[in-house]
Parts: sequence; C-alpha cells; structure tokens
Amino acid sequence: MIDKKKTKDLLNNALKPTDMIEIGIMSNQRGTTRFANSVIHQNLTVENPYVWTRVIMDGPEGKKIGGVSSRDLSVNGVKTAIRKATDIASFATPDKEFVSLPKPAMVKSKGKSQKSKVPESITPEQRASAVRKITSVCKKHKLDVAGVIHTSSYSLGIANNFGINQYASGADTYTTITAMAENSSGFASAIDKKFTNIDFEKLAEIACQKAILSKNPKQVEPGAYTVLLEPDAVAEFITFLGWLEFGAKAFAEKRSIMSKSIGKKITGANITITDDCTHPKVNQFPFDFEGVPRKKVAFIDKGVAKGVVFDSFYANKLKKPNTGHALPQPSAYGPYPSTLIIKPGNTSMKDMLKTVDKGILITRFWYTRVVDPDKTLITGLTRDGTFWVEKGEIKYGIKNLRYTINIYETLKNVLAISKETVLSGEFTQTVAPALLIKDFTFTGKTQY
Amino acid sequence: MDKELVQVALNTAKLKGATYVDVRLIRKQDESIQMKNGRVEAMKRDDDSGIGIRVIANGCWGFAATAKLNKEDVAKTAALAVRVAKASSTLKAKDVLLDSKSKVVGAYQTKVEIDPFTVSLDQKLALLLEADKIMRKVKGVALVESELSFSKKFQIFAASDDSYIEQWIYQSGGVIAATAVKGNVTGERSYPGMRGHYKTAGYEFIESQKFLDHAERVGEEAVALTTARDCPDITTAIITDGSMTAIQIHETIGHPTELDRVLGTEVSLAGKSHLTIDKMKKFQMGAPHVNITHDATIQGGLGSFGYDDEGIPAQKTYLIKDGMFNDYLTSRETAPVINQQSNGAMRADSWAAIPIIRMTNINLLPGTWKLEDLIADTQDGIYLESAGSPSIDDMRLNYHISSEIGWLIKNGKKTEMVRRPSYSGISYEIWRNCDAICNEDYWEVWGVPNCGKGDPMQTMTVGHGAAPARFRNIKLGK
Repeated sequence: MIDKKKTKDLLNNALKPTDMIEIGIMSNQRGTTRFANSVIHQNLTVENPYVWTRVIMDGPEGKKIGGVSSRDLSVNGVKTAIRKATDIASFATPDKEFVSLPKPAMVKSKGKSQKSKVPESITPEQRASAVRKITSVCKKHKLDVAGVIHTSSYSLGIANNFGINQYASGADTYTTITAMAENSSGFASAIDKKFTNIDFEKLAEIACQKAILSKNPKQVEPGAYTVLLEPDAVAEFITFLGWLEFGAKAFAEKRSIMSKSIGKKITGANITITDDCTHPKVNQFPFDFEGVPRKKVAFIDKGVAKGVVFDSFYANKLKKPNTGHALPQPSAYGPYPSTLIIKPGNTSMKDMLKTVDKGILITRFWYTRVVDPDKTLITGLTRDGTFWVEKGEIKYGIKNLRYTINIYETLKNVLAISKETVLSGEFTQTVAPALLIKDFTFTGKTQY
Repeated sequence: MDKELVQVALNTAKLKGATYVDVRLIRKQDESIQMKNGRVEAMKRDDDSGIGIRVIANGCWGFAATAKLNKEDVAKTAALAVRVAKASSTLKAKDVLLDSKSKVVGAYQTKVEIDPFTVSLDQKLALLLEADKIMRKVKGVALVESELSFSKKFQIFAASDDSYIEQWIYQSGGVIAATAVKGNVTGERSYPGMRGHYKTAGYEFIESQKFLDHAERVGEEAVALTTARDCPDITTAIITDGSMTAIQIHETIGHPTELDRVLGTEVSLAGKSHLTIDKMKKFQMGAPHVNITHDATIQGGLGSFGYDDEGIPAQKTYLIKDGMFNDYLTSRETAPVINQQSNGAMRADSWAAIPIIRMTNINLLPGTWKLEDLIADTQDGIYLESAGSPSIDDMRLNYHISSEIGWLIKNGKKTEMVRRPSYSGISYEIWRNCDAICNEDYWEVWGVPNCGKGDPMQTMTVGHGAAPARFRNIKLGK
C-alpha cells in the first residue's frame, strides 16, 4: 500500500510545466484463498503496483498523445514512464478531436470520499479461519464445498499539470461459496468494505440449503416462463446494459438504443437505473481515472431513457458535462459506468414468491454473452440453484436452462421488484433487487 | 541481477521451511495501437516486471508475488509465500503430492524474423491508416477500427530441484473491422479470424496477413450485412470456417479436458466438466475421424512454448483419438491422480498469478476435403465465418456460438448472405455429427488472446489448429 503523502510526492515530482501530462498511481495488495473439495488448494498474496502516464504534445495539426504504464513506482520509474510516453507521443498521428485534460475548475467535488480511510489488512490466517467456518457448516450438512475469499487493500492517486490532484484508498472482501450435493449445487456470495462484516457461516448455510433443496433436479422444457430472479441473476444481465448502452462512446457512434431514445420510454415505468458511487452499499473511488469526481447519472428514470456517462474526451466531443467516468487513459473503450443502482420496490422477496402461480426461481446466471447488440439480445445459463415454483412455493430443483432475452423488452415485463437489494460484482458494482418477470424466454436445456 | 534474485527467493523459502519452491521472474513489454476512423484512440506501451514465488510448506501450497525486484523485497516475499502455505495447512486433507519430474535445464525462444519492437511506430501507424482509409472509402461504412498489438516476454523459471529455464516469447497480432449503420441495424465485419489473429511470431506475421488486400471486402460485407436478413431459425448442416472451428474446439474440447476442472478445483468460477475420469478412453466424444491434440511443440501458436510454468518440456498428446475421449491437460499435482506424469499444461498469465491448467495449442487434425468440394457436397446448409462470442454451461455441455456472417448453401452453392448466425447444442453431439474436415491446405493455428479462467481471473493466450469442417443437424437461432 502506498499512502497519500508518498503518492502525492511522486505525482508532483514528475509533473512538468510543458505539454499536458497525466499520471495515475495505483497500489494494490491482494490476498486470495481458494478452497475446493473442502480444503484450501490455492492461497496467495500479491503486491501489484501500477503507474500510468499520458502525455499530450501540442502540434500544428492537433494534439499528439502517447501512453506508458509500468510497475516501477520509484521517483525515477515515474520519470522514465513520462519520458517514454513523450517518445511515443512524438510519433503519434495528430488528434484533431482531443481538446484538453480536465482542469480543476471543472471538477469541484461533491459528496464525501468513501475510500479515504486507512484500509484494513487481512492476513492469510484470517482468510483460512473464515474458510474453516464455511467448511464446517457444509460438513454438518454432508455437502462438499468450493469457493474463494478475496481481500484487497488499495489506493489510487491521479494528477495532471493543470492542478488535478486526487487520492483515495480503500479495502474490500469478496467471497463466493458453492455447496455441492451429488446432483445439485447452491450458491451464495457477499462483497463488503469490511472483512468482519461478512457472516461466512450464514452464507454457507444459504448455499447449503439451495443445494439440498435442488437435489434430484427435474427437467423443464424451454419456453417462456414467469421467473423470480434473485439479485445476483439481475446484476448479471443488467451489467450488459453498462457495457452496451450506458457509455457516451456507443452513444456518440449511434450504436446504442439509448442514442436514439433519450426522452422515450424504453422499459416498464417501474424501472429506474442510475450510477451513484455515493450509494451506501457500493465501494467505488469517488473520482474517475482522470481525477474527475464521479457524478450521479440517471440512465433510465421510471422507464424513460435519460442519459449516459462521459469522460473528458466525450464531454468535449458532444459538448456535455463530464460525469467522471473515465477508464485509465489512453483507452479505446470510452467512458464506463462502474456503479449500477437499480431502484428497489416495496415488496419482500418472500411475498413476491407467494404470487407465483407457476414459474422458476433463479439464483444466478453464468457465461452470459451478447448475441445481437442492436437488440440488446443476450444469452446465458442458469447455475447453482434453479427451482420450480408452484402456487407460491418452491416445489423442487430443476435442471439448468439457457436463457436468451432482449434486455429492454424483458424490462417491460417486470411485475414486481423487491425492497431488498444486494451488492454484486467487483469492477462493475451493481446494487440489484430481485425481479419478478413474466414471459422470460428459455431457449435450451442442459443435462444436469 | 535477475539470477541472483531468483536464488534469493529459492534460498529464503527453503530456509523458512519450504519443501519445494519454484520461482518465475518475468520482464515483459507490451505495445498496442488502436485506431478508429483515422484517429489514434490509444497508443501505448506497458513495462511489466515482477517475481512470483510458489512453495509447498507443511504439505500445502503458498504463493506470493511482488513487483519490487530487489533482494530485500524478494526475500520478504519468499518468506510470505511460506507463511501463506502454513495458513493453507490449517485446512488440508493430505499433503500435496507432485509427479516425479527430474531437474530440467534449458532455454527456448520464439522463432522471430522481425522483432516487432524494432519496427517503428511510424510504419505500424502507416499500415493502420491505409487500411482505415480503404475501409472508409466504401459507401455506407460508418465506423472503422484497427489494432496492432505486440508483446515480448523474458522469463526465468527456477525450482528447488535445481531446474533452471530461460524463455523469450514474442507475440504479434492485429485486426481490421468495419461497421455500417442503416437505421437501427448495424453490420459488423472484421478480418482476420475471430475479430483478430495472433501468433507467437514477429512482425513478419503482420505482413503475412495482408490487411490492405482485405480492407475493401471487409467494408463491403459490413454494408451488405445491414440489408441481409437475420439468419433463419432452422436445423441444418453448418460448415464452419477455420476460426469458428477453433472456437468450437476451445469451448467444447479444450476447457472440458482440463483435469483441474474435473477434480473440482475450478468450481468457484469456471465450473466442472462432463468428461469425468471414468469416461477416459471409453466415451465417444466425436466421429471416428475426429482427432484433437494438445500440442505446445508446434511453431507459432499462442500456446507454443519450450517449457510450461512448472518447468515441464512442451509436449504433444491426443485429447481425442479416433473420436474417443483419450486424455486430459494435466499438471504435476493432478497427473498422478490418473497415474500419469504432467503433460505440461500449467501456465500463469503473469508473475503475479499462480499457474493453473490451461490450454496450449488444442488442434483438430486436418482431414481430406477441399473447401469448395465440401460446399459442393452440401445440399442444404450454411457456411459461417468469423467467430463471435461463445457461451457454455459450467459442465461444458450446452454451448451457443455466434458468428459475424453466414451464407445459406443450396444445392452445393453459397447463396444468400445472412446476418448474425448463431447455433447451439450439446458439445459431444456436434463432434459426433462432424462428417468432414478440410485438408492441411486450409489448416491454420488460430490464436485466442483472451481465454479467461481462474479466480481471480487470468487471461491466457491459447492456440487452436483448425480447418473448415462440416457438422450435420445443427440448430441455428433460437
């Protein structure tokens, strides 16, 4: 871990008055303990710092831009990175569209930083102790178990020679647990800022109960069904809207449905999705990789398309406010919404289940991929706890199914939204409720 | 200096109680240029170096890694690896047992005619700009993208059994792509392969791809796709081009034959496999003429190397022999479970990652057909080019694969172009329905630069030797 003073010293020492220079420094200490067959089989601690720089040189025909990254966080290492980036920039084709790096006047910060506290350091012994808790619960149920505990502490500093100078640090723990019976499995996961906030035994019990409840699964034929998607399943398919639809690049290139739909109704009126890094459940840096504070952005408000996220390049290009959603630069990906908040409803998951006459309860999806981006058509599979529901009760486990859906059309069929929400994902953090959806399409079946 | 650091890691770990140690010190350079509509979106280089130290202590694995390449930090990291292993040992069933590999000393270098890092950025930019210009000249093309990427990796592997290996691996690759937009419909086309082609090779590989000769066609086909109808939902014969055959191999043969998945150690993310040990040499995975190898010894594949990340020399084995499931990809720890020695498939995507079982080059051996004869021999079917995104369940049974473009085949002739074809089914059924494979003139080792596995996810470069092939009775669309 690199503290605030050292990060700022490195950034300030490297900046020169000439040209435009941006420097980012990230330090990361990550621990991972993987377990399977009820023993620890992979266990690691990695320190992986990262420094990157973008140099922009003025030229008669436009700006010339070069980027370099390395793992050398010494004063000389950072200076070397800048020198190499300058060399690359000197070869670059002039960029007539690039205007400027962000300036401090553009980036007045709102809200408090969520990542400025000193991160806790989790030891391999603490992770091993948590794994023992998990395996003891599964052993009690005579179930096999596999999973992972990731613990990270990290810091991010960004500076440029216009005066941007940001620093934040943080920590998180992410765990997944898969309990396995002879022909069934159950899944539970959690992500939290604090390792000690996670109740590993409770999670293991949830995974076990799903595995027990889905033993000897029956086959259900593909078709359209009413489904109750738990938050992990909702997060998986909503994340694809982040990739395909909610960034300014696809918007500028008119590739997205959002680019043709601002102000129009594109989902049911009960759907509201925003990017909000100040949401109490999420754990994101309060500024982006250009040092610009992340603003709250509404993508869909009560079913109506509202907007997308911007970085400095696309804000200048489309003459819109910069929302603070840049990735590390230079990058060809464009701005990206790393936080997706789906507005919860006012009913409980239990009550939602009671309303299902015949349908399917899904714990999570797996290997979802895009089939046709023009239609937001995606496909993937159910995994680790799929159940047949009848007259408001879970009847039995069913074999896994392939789903193929148009995301926006699916979001027109949402019958109910839970008041409970769960945080899923690491890079893209999604706070999702459970959704009850009619006419959800399954196009294939598996054999287990 | 690097040799000294490796020795510090080995000595410290042994002193702290490790009964086995291996060390990988890596110095890697990457360079990439991404261009869109004549604008360089990103031109950058990455210098990545560090050391990963893997140990067995108290009978369990531990791993620690650092980018700080000095004696003090390397020693600290080695001691940390032992501490991590001791933490693992608080939950173990039995001691880790490795196969009986003996000391290996050697060196390997990718065969390179032109070191890509000696080719000027000017020359690379000029190539991309010219391809960009040709594609954008095609009326109806809205967006054009192109990319070149290169890497050069130096790696020392050393182990406590006195093994010492140095390897220099080069990779080069690129892509050109055009997008046409008409109303709400986009047509996307790329060249070569599965939105890019990559090899362990030098800049001569980029020259061999002749991007400029294909740029106009790529633009024209993108435009044509905006008015092509969607691929119909039918069950018919498909003929896959080499890149699509490669993805089929990757998803339905490569991953399910990874022995770590079979033994349950990848459940937390990637899942398991339907190819359980009881099926080995007993399960008919494909038609009798289907032969698929794991072969790290061939030249140029993204899975070509001299030694894997446990110091095992590159090998060739049959995963599928005469259609029968024959063998797994293995490691030193998993191979003894099936009474074998490792066949050299342990790979890590960086110094900061622990080696896990990965594909090397997983190759479908060529058949006897010419492509034109295969199409002429097909009454009803569809010819598919350029793999899109795949999806498959966590046992590697139910797959779904899309492609950029297809042409219906009627009475032995390619006819109407169709948009975004995709097909799905059960993995062993498609290989049992493979009734023809093109000959070695059509055989190419395709590169997949972004194979994901592990937790945290590791992105590996793997290769697939493949030729166009025909599969009967395949369900297209929903």
